[in-house]
Amino acid sequence: MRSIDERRSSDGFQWVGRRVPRLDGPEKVTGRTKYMTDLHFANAAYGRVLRAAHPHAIIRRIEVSRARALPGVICVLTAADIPGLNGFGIIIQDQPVLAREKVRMTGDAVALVAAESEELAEQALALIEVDYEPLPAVTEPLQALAPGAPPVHEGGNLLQRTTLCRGDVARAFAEADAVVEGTFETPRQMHAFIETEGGWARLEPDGSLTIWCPAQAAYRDRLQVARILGWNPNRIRIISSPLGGGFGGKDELTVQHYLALLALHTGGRPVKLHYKREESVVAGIKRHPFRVEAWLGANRDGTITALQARIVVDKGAYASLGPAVLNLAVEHIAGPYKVEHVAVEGLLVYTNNGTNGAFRGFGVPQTCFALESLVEMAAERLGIDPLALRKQNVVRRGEVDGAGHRIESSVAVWECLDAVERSSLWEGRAEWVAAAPAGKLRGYGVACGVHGVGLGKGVPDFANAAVELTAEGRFRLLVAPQEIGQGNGTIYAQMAAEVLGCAPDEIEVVQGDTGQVPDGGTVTASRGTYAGGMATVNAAKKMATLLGQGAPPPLRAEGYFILPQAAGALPGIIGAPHHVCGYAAQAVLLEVDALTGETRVERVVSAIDCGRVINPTGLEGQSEGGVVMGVGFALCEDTLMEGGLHRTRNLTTYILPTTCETPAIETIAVESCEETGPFGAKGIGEVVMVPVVAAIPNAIARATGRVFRLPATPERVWAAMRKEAQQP
Amino acid sequence: MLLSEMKVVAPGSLTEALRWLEEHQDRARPLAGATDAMVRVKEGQWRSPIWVEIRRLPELQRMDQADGWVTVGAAVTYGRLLRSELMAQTAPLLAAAARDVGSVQIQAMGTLGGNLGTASPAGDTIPPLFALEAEVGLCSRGGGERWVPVESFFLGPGRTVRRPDELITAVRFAPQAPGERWKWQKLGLRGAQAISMVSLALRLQPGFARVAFGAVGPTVLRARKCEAWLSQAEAFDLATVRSIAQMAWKEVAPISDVRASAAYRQQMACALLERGLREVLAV
Repeated sequence: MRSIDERRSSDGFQWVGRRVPRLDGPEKVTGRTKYMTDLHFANAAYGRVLRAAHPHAIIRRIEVSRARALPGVICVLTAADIPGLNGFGIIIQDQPVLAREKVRMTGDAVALVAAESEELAEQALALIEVDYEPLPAVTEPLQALAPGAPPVHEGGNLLQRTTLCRGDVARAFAEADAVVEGTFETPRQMHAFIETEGGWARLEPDGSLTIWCPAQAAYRDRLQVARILGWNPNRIRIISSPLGGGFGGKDELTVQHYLALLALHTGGRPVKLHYKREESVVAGIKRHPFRVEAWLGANRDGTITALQARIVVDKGAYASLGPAVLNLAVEHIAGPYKVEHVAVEGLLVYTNNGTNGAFRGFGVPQTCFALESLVEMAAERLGIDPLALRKQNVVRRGEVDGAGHRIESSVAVWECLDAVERSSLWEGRAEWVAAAPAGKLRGYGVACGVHGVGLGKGVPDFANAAVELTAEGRFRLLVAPQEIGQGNGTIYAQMAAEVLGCAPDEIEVVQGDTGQVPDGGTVTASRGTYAGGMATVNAAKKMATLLGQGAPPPLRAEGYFILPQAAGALPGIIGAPHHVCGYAAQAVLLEVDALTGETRVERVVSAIDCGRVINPTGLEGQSEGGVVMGVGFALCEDTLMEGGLHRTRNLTTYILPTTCETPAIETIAVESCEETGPFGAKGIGEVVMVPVVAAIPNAIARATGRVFRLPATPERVWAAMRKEAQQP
Repeated sequence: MLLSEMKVVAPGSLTEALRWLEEHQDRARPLAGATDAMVRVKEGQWRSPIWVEIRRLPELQRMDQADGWVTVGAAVTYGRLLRSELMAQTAPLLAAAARDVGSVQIQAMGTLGGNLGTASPAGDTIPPLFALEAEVGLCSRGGGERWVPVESFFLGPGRTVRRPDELITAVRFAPQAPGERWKWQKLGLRGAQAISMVSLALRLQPGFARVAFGAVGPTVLRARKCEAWLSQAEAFDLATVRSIAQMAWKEVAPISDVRASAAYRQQMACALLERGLREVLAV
């Protein structure tokens, strides 16, 4: 990225675009950072959650008297103890806080215990008697849709159907020179953050409630907790930053509601709840497994003309953000391509397979795998270079994408593909493949992708931030999006410093505390830099104005930003289209062992259309982290379930990539200028993991045989290799 | 049994440790690096009332060569094995396997005796010990010392001939011959920190072959048909190597689990043997 650094030195910015070291770096690498679950309070009570014994069952009776009688137990709570709504969920509240009549997954909470020690709390759990009447578990989405399938919820198993239709696919397929098809299946990826769900809560002497809990949406969590407690939300303070990882897995409520309920029954004693990994696996959301059956049509000249797809999503037991995940998947299923004829049907299906929700990429990696596999297959069928075919079909500003949306914002996906094409990886690919050692098969693969920034059309999306100048003459920046590992606090300080004319490390950045920061929305949807950054810039500008007027400290200025919405509309798809999108193109070199199917990604080039780079080191961090997460999705990660029960119980059998699986990653910043963003920046936190999940299977296909199901474990690649060998 | 009710004792000598085991029999369990024990206890298993910590016992730390035997104490860690000059000279096969166990942290804590005591068919040091035809030293207060061939030591997954009053004290074997060809191979779901789906320990000398597979049977298995053919082959071309490797298919009895199917494991026994033979024989 030297070119980026060089260009920076001549563009007149003092801080924006510089490799400003992480403000929180020293305390993180020395282990001094206190995450919420690292805190400790004296006189603590310890909470535990009783989980359902069956994936699907009627609760006939819950008896807690023996647990309550155990010495050392402070309280045992059931659904009867919930003062407000016994339900939660960001979109619809179909998930009980504590199950009363029915359980729909083994992760369902049935009762809560607080005790003098964690061990006592665990003992008390064993004394709670729940009388279940087991029901057949619904575990296959396609079977869940069949008539007569046991309903997970009263309304049946189809939670949502989203469709997108443009042009005339039947005619387009009939006229296409090449039609390729496949059914693509994706894993139940686990967020696997290092800090499992947990935190503290305390009922304060003034009757208010404080919750310390790593989370991606503190203000929304506060509203959800208030609805459950039947409380004025202003009596609840949530401190949510920094997080020991989130990736979408702390977007929905995790333990805030349990902490709140327990804290109401511990007589003012602080209460702690912290999931063990095994509990996190069972109770936490996962990435929705997709089954995408799709057809792609293209002409001899390389024009992609038609795309048809049927997406069936394993929703798991509760909605959470699933409806929005499906909608984004449908919006982006045609990727950044100008496909004129598109017909997509997406079905979101309840099952008893735990529950799924937000996860970096939000439905897009799943459909990208299908689309980009088909694009590669079409290129092969037509005898066209796969990268040239992509460059020919990608959308440019002012053009209409596959969803039928005219792009009126920055787009540099062609330039990303071009940057990949000029990279040393791509230029040397044939030579590298030809130099495969004995017993190894080598391949290269490429893919590109798009991901919306912000919540999209029809979903109110705003950001506020505040800048204060204290009486002592120190700047404080108060901003909602949490520090989740990505380093947004540092780039907010860079932006504010650029406006205020101070140094970034002269600014104290406060994040994610509803007691201090204005409601600036979530750290999700690739919006942290873009939305949080604009609110920061606007607040800093107001502060600069106050200072220019000679106002004396203490001073406070608030900045607001309402995310621009797309001019066009995609009727029936809430949240689509997105006005601003991040784009990326990624290519990989990999090697497959011809005997075992073991696959090793050796090199990756990741070209990212990120608008203007605020901090090149931060961009590289996101790019590299995203690539490794994509490697995991493509090659090894899956939470295996059978009959509604988890076969993968912890990180012994959940196979995350380690440094051994981490390829050499070259990040290329393809700078466009997003006029609506801070200093021209836009969000790329998710798109960085999208194309790579398809580039890897494309490279495997080139090396040996094509895989249609991810992760491409050694066994699956071996099977694909054998199938390929048996073909004439 | 609650965690807080369990008692850990740390005897200062082997005699004292054996006394604890003799007095408490099934109620006491030896604790070495705790890399398996911690996991099992967390899962609610192995809730032994008394744990006898043996990791620091001086009698279990030896690593020496005398009278034709290389002897390794039961409390020697994987880390010591893989860094040992003696192992590099006398049992590089065992050192290579130790290098593939878990992570650096596990290698610093886990012990050779613990790997034997846990008796997992996927224990990484066990196939090399089979290929070395090692003997396992067991000691008790009443019965003194006895040496059991490693192939007779395991009864099944998690089960060994060790009596509750006995402690695994050491392992001994004849050193690998200078210039002998050997190979350790491990197939896991990733490059490190992975439990073996299949593993292979291979030794070759003119007229001599030892082949042992891990994770493809109730215990580690010797592939005696492969050994016989390898020791009798006059020349190794690719066709010979492949046909011998294919025999492994009939010498293993894997099961399907969360990591891999039985069919894949069975094929991979052949694949690892083929890959290993081709590497050591350069065919």
